[in-house]
Amino acid sequence: MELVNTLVQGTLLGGLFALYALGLSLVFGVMRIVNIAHGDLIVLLAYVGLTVTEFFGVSIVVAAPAVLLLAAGAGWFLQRGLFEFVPRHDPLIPLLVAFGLSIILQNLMLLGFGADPQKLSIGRLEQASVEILPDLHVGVFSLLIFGAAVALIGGLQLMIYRTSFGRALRAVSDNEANAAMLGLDTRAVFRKAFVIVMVTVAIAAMLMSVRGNFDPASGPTRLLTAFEAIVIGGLGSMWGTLVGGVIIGIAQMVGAQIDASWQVLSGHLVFLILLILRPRGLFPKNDG
Amino acid sequence: MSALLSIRDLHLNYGQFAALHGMDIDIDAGEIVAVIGANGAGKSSLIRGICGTEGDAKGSITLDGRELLGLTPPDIVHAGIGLVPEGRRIFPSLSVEENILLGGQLGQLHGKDPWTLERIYELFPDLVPKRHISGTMLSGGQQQMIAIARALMTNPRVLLCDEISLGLAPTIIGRLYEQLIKLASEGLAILVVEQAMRKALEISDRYYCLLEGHVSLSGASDEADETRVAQAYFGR
Repeated sequence: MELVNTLVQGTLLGGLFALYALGLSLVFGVMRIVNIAHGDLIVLLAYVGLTVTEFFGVSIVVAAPAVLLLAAGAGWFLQRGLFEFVPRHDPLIPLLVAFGLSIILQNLMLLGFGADPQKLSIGRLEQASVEILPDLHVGVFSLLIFGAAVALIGGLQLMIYRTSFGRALRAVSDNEANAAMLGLDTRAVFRKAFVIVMVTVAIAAMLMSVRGNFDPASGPTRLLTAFEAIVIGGLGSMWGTLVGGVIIGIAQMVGAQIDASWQVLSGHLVFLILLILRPRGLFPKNDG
Repeated sequence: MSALLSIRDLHLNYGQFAALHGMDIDIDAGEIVAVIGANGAGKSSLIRGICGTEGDAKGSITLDGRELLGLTPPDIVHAGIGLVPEGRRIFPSLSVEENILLGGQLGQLHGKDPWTLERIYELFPDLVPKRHISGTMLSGGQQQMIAIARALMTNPRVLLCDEISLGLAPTIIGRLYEQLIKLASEGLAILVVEQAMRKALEISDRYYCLLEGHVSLSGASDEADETRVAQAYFGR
């Protein structure tokens, strides 16, 4: 029973990791930018959530639409005002720009919100649990996070494979120069893509901020977990990313059983082992 | 009265390098115009100049009186220029049908009859059984059909075909050109850029021969004298 419990908790935790990873995966898949600032953007939006809830004195549940809207705007602005001007012929250039953005964001957050860990609360729902099997209790909020991850991936898959925008997105991802030559407005595609990315970031941020503490320096660890989930799953496969997240989540939970200090380390170890065994990930995209 | 697509004194520079030095070309509705020339004669530069994709262009390109020079590639496609690019450029992540539908997202309707999947499949029935598999899994000739279909879905007034015969078997080339002739007879203006001189003269109404970035010879294709064209082609 102990083992089953650990597996279930790890799986649910994996949903959160997958949520961290979705935006990162999209930015890399479409724009070929390794967004080092991704984790910091998650934390920034957690602070945006905190600010909105404190300012209006409402719960994050009520504030969520406003946070999503702000995130969408920020996504458009980030692409229009920053990444659009970054030459991408050499992947190192956008990488360095994102690295700079990461440092700026971390320091601005430190300046604006201080170094104290913060957390958002949604009241009783946080502690509520259900008995899914005899003697097996799971947190309702953990289930909610996992459900959000599944729903978001499903939604993104529908968008990518069933809409005209998704068609354009895949064409640009295949070959940006060819898409542009044929008259596709790639700048518009990128702007919309970044808006969608930031909406996924906002969803991840709000769930994260309720689940646990965050501070201005939390970004890089979120980024690392997201990276690991993507690489384990295989680049370009969103369901693979969920599986990758679940694997890291389970590894962390098993590690925590051994010793609390082993939790994070064992996630990284499993990642390392899988990287050696399956360097292209568990579900690599067949790109011939 | 100027032609549907009228190119006047077109210059195209890539930095210090001048690829086109003053080119005049006309294409009218219902006409197939062949642009022939050796490698480096300026054929691809002409296409890029019209599509606005690369280089610094000067002069004038008007489509039905509207100046295209200075517009962005998406706006040029909107104006009614459809491109069948050299090398076909099929997107591997998209199915055959999605590749074709992508064209429909780019253009804008000019006449009455919009291009639909039904009309495309009527023109290229070979594509129907393959429509749900990846576009790059098909044979070269079928990929060329996808590229033409994708360009047609933008509802162009002028279709630019860049080296569509490259690497294809003669029978396939013949069939593709038959379809182009049919499209021209329905009123489409078609510009074919070809290295294969004889084939291009055979299927076109008029021709322009390019040499070192300018038009070295032009005229009606059925009156073309092969030795003179060969001279204009090779510059000897």
